[in-house]
Amino acid sequence: MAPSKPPAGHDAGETRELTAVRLVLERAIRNRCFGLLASTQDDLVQSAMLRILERDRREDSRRRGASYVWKVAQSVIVDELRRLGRERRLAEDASREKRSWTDPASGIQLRQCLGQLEERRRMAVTLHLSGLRIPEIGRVAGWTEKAAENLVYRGLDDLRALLGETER
Amino acid sequence: MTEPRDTTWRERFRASMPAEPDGPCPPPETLWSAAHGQLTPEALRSLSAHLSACATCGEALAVSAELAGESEARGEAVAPRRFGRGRAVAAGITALAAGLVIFLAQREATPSRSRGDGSTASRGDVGGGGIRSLSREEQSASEVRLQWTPVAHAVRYRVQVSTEDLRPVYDRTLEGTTVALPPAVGDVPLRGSGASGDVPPLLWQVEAMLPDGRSVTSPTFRVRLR
Repeated sequence: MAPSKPPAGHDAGETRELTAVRLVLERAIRNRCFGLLASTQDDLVQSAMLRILERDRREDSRRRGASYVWKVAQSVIVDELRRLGRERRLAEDASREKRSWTDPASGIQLRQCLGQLEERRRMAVTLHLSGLRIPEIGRVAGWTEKAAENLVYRGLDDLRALLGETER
Repeated sequence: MTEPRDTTWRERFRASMPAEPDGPCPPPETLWSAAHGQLTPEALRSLSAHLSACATCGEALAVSAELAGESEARGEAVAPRRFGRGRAVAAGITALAAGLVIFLAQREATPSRSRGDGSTASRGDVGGGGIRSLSREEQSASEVRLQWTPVAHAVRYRVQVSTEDLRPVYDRTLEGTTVALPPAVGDVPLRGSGASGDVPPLLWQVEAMLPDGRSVTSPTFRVRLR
């Protein structure tokens, strides 16, 4: 993917920050959005970077500090993911195609079993299956990493038991 | 710490999602707050429920978490976690409970001394600046007013009120030395009164905070409601 060039007038520090944002976005999209094709991931990051640069120019992020750039990046990428999600849903509806890994019966069963877990385990497993790592789950839910780890593992064990699966 | 490897599970989880999420997706700001651990427990529960039906928001939160982690690693100042206040309250409750244990232990020897002149210093003695109650010991439940003697140089006072069984019902930090309790707080002991009609008292304690970080804690006072 060709990197988006910062517009004229950006100082070295700001350029470094935007470069860091792009690298983190690429990594995050690659590792967290596994349902997307690689080319779609590239397009997503490119599109997000263009919007970040537009907002950066419009809102004068320089005056707001480096952390603001990260907040803008987050807001933009969430919007882009949702736009992409809507487009994918529309495309699926139009073609009547189903994702290759879709298994409605076991999927529905999984959600039902997830709903039967104890609240903290359910939350931990939900965050885990959403793609969060253990330290992030701890941070989001206000647990220690150890507690988050225990809740995820025990929740997954419970889920396996409810689904009648024994393999780890 | 070992990360579980559940790619298949994640795929099944995604596959289990309905075509459209049950409710509206939370704004990006909510996901950003969540990634920083700043959601209230209620908001977190609501978000968790939404995530079980919206794969896009799951991805969005995961990406937000990565961005938040990176921005913090690069030195972003982060507001106090939502649990800060809860932990502070919990710490306060612990302190109040400890004070009440002492109070209850001493009550046998020195019965009902709500206007006692020997207040207790904690984490620092400020030279006789003890806190005494200036409130009436019996007050109307609909209009409870707590008042205490000022402590020299105190910048704030924290007032904690609990029921006799140590259930906290009020916790507030203020600059003055008087506080009017909300009527709902005064109602608590009335709701707990037994068949005999005896209304259990409320217990209260003040902590004066000094500019140098030290604090002075009052004895535990009682206010009986009618």
